[in-house]
Amino acid sequence: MRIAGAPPAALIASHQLGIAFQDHALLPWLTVRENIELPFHLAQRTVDVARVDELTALVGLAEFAGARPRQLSGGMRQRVAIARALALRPRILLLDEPFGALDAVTRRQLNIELQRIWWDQRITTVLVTHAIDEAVFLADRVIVMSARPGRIRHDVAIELARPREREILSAPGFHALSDELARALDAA
Amino acid sequence: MKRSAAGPVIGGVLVTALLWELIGRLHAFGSAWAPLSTVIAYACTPANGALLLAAAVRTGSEALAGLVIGSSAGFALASCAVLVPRLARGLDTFASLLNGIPIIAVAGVCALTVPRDGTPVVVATLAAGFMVFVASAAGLAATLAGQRDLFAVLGASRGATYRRLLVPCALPAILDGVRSAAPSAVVGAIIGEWFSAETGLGPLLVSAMQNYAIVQLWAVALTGALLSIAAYALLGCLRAAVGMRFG
Repeated sequence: MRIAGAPPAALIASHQLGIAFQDHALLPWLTVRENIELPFHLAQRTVDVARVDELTALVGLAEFAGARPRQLSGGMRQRVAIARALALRPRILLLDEPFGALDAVTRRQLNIELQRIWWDQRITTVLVTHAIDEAVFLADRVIVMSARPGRIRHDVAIELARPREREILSAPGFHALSDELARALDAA
Repeated sequence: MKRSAAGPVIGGVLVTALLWELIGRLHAFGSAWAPLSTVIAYACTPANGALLLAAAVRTGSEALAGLVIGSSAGFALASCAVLVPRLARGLDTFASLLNGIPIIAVAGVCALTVPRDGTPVVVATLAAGFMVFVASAAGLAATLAGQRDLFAVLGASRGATYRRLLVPCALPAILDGVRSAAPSAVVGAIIGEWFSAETGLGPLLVSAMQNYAIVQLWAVALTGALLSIAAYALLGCLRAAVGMRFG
């Protein structure tokens, strides 16, 4: 696999890959702010204070900048993980089921927030998910993969207008796309 | 200490003290078992108290030096095993072999090979080092897979991963090791003193045994035990404080 003509390792070496996992992987001894600053330290760059301020506000945690992860809810921790992933303005943002461990209500709220964050940052994002409505709501393109071996089975363009608001979740077009993807998954 | 945790500790101390006193008073184990009250009365006279305090300070200083050096060496060896993985198995074997030598034999060899005043510190170092090595190695390997993946994907160097992830993660385990090693360092210092020193709890113990000074023997043993318990408790407080942030 190559990304923009280079292997993924080159993207990592140049600190152009941002990532958030299902497990937030925050460092419990650091504050919210220090966790978001971490990529700057690992890339041996001066911390961009304004960028950290901007991201802390973007994910709605400006008032919790000094809090430690144990003081936050599951949803707040995932928002910190996403802010950390965005810190260095990566070329690719990889989100590996970032909301997979959250309850349905929190998950829906965070999907709406993620869409807003993405709209603000406009970074090419690869989101791995098992939730069809999440994929339809967030993506421009959904790739359905088979289980074993992992092969691309379907490639569906999502042409819903942006920015997408909560109301779109109950629109007929949204449901039609969800049904189409459900059938594709069943067949995969 | 929380109220719920303090209760059993105080209860245990009281039961131990009571049993000690009763066994001594009733001569249940013969006349060589001095009652606790007699031992305390002996230690509370100004001359004996000063003697025990001076010996405890001497042994405590040696144990502390040994604990610091041993802990540093144990941590450094464990770090080498993490930073240079091909050294891991060799260092593990080396540390196990060193730990397998009876401490009394180590003390005898040290008495012949290191400067006289240095023997208690060297023995205390060896007694403490292995525990901290094992605790450090376990702590440095205890990071979560997600955290390791994150550092890898963010392009962290091995040094940055060690400094910013492994060491902070390992701190509670390392301090557990240091706390457990503290009583061993005290024992190591006392054994080292047997072979080389003229002051400290070790020589006092030997002198009491040779002169059949039973109460003095018990008083020295009690002083040594209190020294170990104090070190363990102090390091426990430090461990609790570190655990609040890094645990």
